[in-house]
Amino acid sequence: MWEPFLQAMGMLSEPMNLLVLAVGAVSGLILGALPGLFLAGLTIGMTFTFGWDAETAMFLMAGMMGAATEGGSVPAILLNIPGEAPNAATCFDGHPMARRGEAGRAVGLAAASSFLGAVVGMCFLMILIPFVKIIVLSFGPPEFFMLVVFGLLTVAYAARGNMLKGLVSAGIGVLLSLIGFSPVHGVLRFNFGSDNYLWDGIPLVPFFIGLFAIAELVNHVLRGETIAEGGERLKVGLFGAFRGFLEVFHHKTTLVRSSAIGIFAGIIPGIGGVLANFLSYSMTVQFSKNPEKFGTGTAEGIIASEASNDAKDGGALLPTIIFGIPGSAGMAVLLGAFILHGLQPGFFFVREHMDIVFVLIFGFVISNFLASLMAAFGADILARVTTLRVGFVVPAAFLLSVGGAYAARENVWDIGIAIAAGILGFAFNRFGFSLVTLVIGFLLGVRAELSFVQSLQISAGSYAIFFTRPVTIVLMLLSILMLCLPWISSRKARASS
Amino acid sequence: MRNPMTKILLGAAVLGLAASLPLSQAQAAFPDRNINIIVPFSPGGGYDAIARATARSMKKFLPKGVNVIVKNVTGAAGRRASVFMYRAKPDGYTIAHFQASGMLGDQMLSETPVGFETSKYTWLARVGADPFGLHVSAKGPYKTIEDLQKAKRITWGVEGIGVGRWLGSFLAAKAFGIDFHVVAGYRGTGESLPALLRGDFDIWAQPIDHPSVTSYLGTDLRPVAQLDRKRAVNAPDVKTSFEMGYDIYFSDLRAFGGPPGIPADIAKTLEDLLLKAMRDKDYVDWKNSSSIQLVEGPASTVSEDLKYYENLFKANLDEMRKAAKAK
Repeated sequence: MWEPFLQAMGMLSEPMNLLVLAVGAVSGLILGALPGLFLAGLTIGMTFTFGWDAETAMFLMAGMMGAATEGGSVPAILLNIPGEAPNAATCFDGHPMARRGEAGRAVGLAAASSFLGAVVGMCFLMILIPFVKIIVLSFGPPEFFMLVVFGLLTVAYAARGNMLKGLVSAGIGVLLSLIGFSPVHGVLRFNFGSDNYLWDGIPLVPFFIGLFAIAELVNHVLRGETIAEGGERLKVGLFGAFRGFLEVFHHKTTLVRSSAIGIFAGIIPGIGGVLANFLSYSMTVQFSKNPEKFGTGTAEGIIASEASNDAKDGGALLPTIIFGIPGSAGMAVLLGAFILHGLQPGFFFVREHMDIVFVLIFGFVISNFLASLMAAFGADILARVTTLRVGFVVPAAFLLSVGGAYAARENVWDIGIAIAAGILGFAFNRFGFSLVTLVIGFLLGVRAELSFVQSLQISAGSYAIFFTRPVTIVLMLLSILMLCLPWISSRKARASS
Repeated sequence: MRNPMTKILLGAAVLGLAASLPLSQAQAAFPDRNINIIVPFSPGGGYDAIARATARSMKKFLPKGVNVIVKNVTGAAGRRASVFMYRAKPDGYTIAHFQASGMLGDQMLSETPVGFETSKYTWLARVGADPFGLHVSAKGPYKTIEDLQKAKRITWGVEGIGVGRWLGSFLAAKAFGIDFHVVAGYRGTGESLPALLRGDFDIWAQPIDHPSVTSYLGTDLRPVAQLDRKRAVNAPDVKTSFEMGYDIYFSDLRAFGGPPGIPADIAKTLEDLLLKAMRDKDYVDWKNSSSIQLVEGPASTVSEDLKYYENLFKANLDEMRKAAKAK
């Protein structure tokens, strides 16, 4: 263990590798901030590494990947545009905080959460390496279904305030998620006459850009003046960023819980960073003593989102290295880089290339640190965006949104999806329907159906499969407990009063 | 020169030369700008990696200033790229790395128009054919093909009903006389391999020289047959379907192709370029280090292979459609 650790340290101390890592972090931060461009940029980065040493190539990949989600949090906070899909939940509290004139604090909170989330994720990566096979192999479709049910139950909490509207939103999300080719039924559903465009369902990046960014831009236009309410109240600056940076340490429980959700989501193929992001957010709402404050610009909301999306990299690296199973789109490109440099993923990877594992760990952590530092120092300048007049910001942000919607797949119809989602998002905001529950329904609906049908295909149609496996039973009990929690706590409160 | 016949012949030669001049110039000029290679699947996968390695070696044989750019046009299980290429300008500057046998299966199995006809593309070179293996979990109850044949209910892991690996799985089940029930919805090797190992399904049809398969052969995965005429290098102890007396060959046919109607001379130039690239030392070294066992071939081999698959699918079409509908 120590020999590869020292070897990786030696590689890190080489000026060329440090330079490559720094270049990776800067480019990852910038690409992450531009919606829809990160994956294309990462792929180009991978192509650049042809002919390089494998270690140097991995420093570039880790540098880019480590910094991207931090970059993605900046437009989510300042403009309500998630740079990366896993930054979407950051919009819920990051942007309201920025509108209050505390953009610096929000960026600082996101920076610290990202960095600490990444550190926790990488620590867990080292601890979990010996157990990853057991974890992945004990999590099949029935367990996944129970997990999704557990996730859907969080809708009830996220919709608190107006339960009916929250559930309607979640239902619409579920319905939208069913569009496209159903692999378990072999049919194309709700395709509106298009045989190919909606095959993979509603594309996530333009849908999110529309829902969060375009809808909010319309709101800004209607409100006028500046993004930050009052415009001139930008007094936070660098001090605000560092205040935010340090504030994370007051919310240790949220940080650890969100990181744990991120790691778990990263390890299990198919969950993905976006779902982790929303699960983490809704779990934080659920466990909070002040759930009504979420969505108005709370620190915990930002921590929940940003810690989970960076911690997931530690989790996702495990199946990528050990199974050759990419836990996310970014990890798929990393896997491509492995193949490009003759590194064979598998159980032997850890034995034969532990130095590369440490290179990736160091790369991710340092890149996150650099990105957080850059974001925190840059927060003062970046936050000024929120005090610019809407007339300047909205056209630029709209172009960025439309460009991002198009860039992800270079499909002009995706712009149409973004605009349609923008109208939907605006209508939801206007009439008090919940975007959080809509997104949870959208992310979980089709996964629930898929894992449910898969389970029945495995068991030849017997529902006993959900009641005879230890992990499903535990998850079922947890779901029941979660449903009973409000009742138990209200009973307790009544008893004590 | 006084001979009128000589004059006529000379005149004809001059005219012929003049007429052929623009064509010769065009031939000499191709390629004078960047060539795009379209990959129908996401970055990081095997198709993407091979396209990028080929692009890197191709550049060595191109005029200065001409590059090869790899672009991923993903979606609809590869259909989006197929349609995009079918409608692209046939000037030789846009080519694709296709999963040709899958495209043909998709086209033939679909009861509605898919927007392309596989045989009409300009096929340029074969990248290789990855013959399928039939894999079971080493810890599972089945050890041989006979065990599977005797079992009443056998589940096959596939991406989706009627698409991708489903075709090879159905045909293998039919040829070997193994029961055919599917557990669908596993996106690629990444989700299918651990699903097989944890027992979600009994059997998995997957190219036997796939890097992820190679790592697990002999430890967690047990191949019980290879759908090939000869044994794969990485599985010399596993019997082929033909050795067992079952007349079935099935592989992922990887090929470079362009839109229908690329002029023959440009197609020939591209074919030569691609073959040179796939025989280049850097490409071969990379291929060996990645344990991908691909044997390249000229355009004619793609057409021959496609003919084989056309006949195979045609002979089983009704049953395949029925099975896809029966779920």
